[in-house]
Amino acid sequence: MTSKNILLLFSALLMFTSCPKSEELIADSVNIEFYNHVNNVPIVFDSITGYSEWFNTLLGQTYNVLNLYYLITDIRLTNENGSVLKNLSDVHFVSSDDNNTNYLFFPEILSCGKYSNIEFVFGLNSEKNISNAYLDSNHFHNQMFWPEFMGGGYHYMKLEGKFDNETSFYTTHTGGLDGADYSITKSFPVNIISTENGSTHNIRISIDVNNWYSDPNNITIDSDGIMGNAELQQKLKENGNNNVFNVQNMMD
Amino acid sequence: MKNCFFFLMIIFFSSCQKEGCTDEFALNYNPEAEINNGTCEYHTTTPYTILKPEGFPNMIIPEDNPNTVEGVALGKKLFKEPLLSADGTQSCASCHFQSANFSDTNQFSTGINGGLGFRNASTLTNSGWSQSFNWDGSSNTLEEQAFEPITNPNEMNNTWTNVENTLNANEDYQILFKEAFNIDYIDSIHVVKAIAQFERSLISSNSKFDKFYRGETSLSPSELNGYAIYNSERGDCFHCHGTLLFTDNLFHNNAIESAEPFLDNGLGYVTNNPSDNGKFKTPSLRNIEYSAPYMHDGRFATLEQVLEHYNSGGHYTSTVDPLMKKIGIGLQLTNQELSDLLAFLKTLSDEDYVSQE
Repeated sequence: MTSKNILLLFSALLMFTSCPKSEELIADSVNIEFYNHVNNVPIVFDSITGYSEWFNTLLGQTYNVLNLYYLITDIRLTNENGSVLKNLSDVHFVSSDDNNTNYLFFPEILSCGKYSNIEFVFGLNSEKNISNAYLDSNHFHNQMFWPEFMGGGYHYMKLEGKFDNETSFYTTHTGGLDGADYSITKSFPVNIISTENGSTHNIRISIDVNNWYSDPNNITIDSDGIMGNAELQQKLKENGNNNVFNVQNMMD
Repeated sequence: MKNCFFFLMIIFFSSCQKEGCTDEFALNYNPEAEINNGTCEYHTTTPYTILKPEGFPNMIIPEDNPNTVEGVALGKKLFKEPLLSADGTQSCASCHFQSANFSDTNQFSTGINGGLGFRNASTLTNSGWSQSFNWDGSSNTLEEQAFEPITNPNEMNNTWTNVENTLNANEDYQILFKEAFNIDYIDSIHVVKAIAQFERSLISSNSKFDKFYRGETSLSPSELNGYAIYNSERGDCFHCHGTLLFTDNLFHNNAIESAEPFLDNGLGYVTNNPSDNGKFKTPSLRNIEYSAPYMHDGRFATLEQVLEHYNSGGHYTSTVDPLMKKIGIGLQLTNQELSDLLAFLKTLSDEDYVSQE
C-alpha cells in the first residue's frame, strides 16, 4: 500500500468516524447564492430607474444593466473523483426581476460525508434544451423561449441594458442556436464536510458579467444579431468558460 | 319479565326516531331526521374539460372555481346579459365582440352614460393562460377582473347590490345558479366565477398557423418568409410575442410614447414604481387581424401602421425596453418583407373561433 493510499484510507476513516451515531442526526443544509457583479462590484438596480450603475468593459465601452436572466442547471456536489454525491437542482432561473432567485436553499439535504466539488451547467445542455420542455415553468418558459426557427429550446441568458449613452441599448442573448450546444459546464472545489449536525453550508457562485465580453475573445457590447450568430455564440461560450464564473465556499 | 319490558321500550323509542338525510350539505337534507338512512342526494355538476392545445402550458384554474359545463354555460349567458348594467342596455359582449377576437373595434368603449374609457378593450382570447389582466395588470385573476366593469362609471355603472337583486328576482337565473353552484342566493362572487369560467373556455388554436404547426397544411412562400422575419433578431417580434400563446404575458414600453410624463403610466399605476411607467401588457397576436385598433390606447387603426411603428423605431423614453434597441432607426424592413410579415400575422387568424356560436 502506497503512502497516498494510506492517506486516502485514513481520510476516509476519519470522515466516517467523525459522523456521530446519535439517533438525533439532522442532515446538513446547503445555501447557494448567485452573486452577479462586475469586478467585484455587485450589480444593484436603482429603485427609480431600474438600471444598475455604469461599468466599463475591458474594451473601454461603458454600459449598465437593466435585465439579467439566466438558467443554471444540474447543480450537484461530487467527491474528489467527480462521482456525484448529491444532485441539488435540475434547473434554476435567476432573474433580476426577483431578488429571491439569487438564492437557492436545500434544507437538510447532506448526509454525512465530504463533498469536494460543486458542478453546474450554465444554460441547458442539448439533452435538456428542448422546446416546451419546461412548458409549465411559468417563471421562465415565456421569458426564455428560443424560437424554433433558430433551433428551439430556451435562451441560456438575456443580458440587457444601455451602452455608451442613455439612448443606446444592447441585448446579449445566448442559447443553443440551431441546436448546437453552447452550454458551459463548470466545476469548482468546495470543502464541505457534513457531520449531520444540522448546520448550513454556504456557497457563493459569482458571475462577473464584464468577462462575457473579453478573455479570450473581445466582443463589442453592441454586437448586433448575437442570437443568430454561431461565431459569437461560440466566443461567448469560450469567454464564459474562461473566467465569468467562480465559486466561494463561504465559512459556516 | 322485567328484561322483556326494557327491550320493548328500546324498540318503541328507536322506532320514534325519524329517519332521513341528516347531512345539511345534501339536497334533500331533513333537519327533523335523527337517523341517516343513506338516502342523501348531493348536488353534482359536470366537469368541463379544457382541451389544452398542443404546445400550450397547463391552464392554471383556481381550486375554488373549477370549470363545469353548467358554470361555463351560465357564464356565457351572463357575459351577454345586459341586465348587468344599470340601465339594462350593456353586457360584457357589448365591448368584447366575438367577431373582433373578444375586443372592441372602437378605440375606446362607450359606457351606458356615453362616457368613454381610456384604453382599448383587451381581448379575452386564451386569457385562461394569463396570470395578470388589463393592460396595466391591475387584476390577478379573471374573477377579480370581472368585478370591475360592472361598477365602473364609464362602463356598466351599476352596483353589485342592484345586480344581485336583479338576478335573484329572475327565475331562470335562480335555477341556473343552483345548477352551477348549488346556491339559493345569487351573489357577486358567483357571478364573476361563472363569467371567469366562460372566459377560460375561450380558446383559439385552429388558425392556419396552428394547422401548419400540426403538419396539416403548409404556409405560402410569403407567409413562410414572414414567419422567418418574425423569429429573427431582424424582425424581433418573438421576444415579446413568442411561444404558441404569441405573448410573453409580460409588460413592456414599446417606444410608442415620445414624451414624459406619460399620458398613461400603465403598469406604473399598479406598482407605483417609476421604472414601470409607460409599460403595458403584451397582447397575444392570435387573431390580430380581427382585433383592430391596436396598442393599449388603440392609436393604430391598421396592422400596417403597427408594422410601420416598429419599422421606424419609435421614440426614446426613460423606460423604453432594450429590445427596442434601434430607437428612431427601426427594423428597416423592405416593403416586401413588411408584406411577408403581414401575411404571416394573418395566418394567426382563427376564423372558426371568431364566428362559431
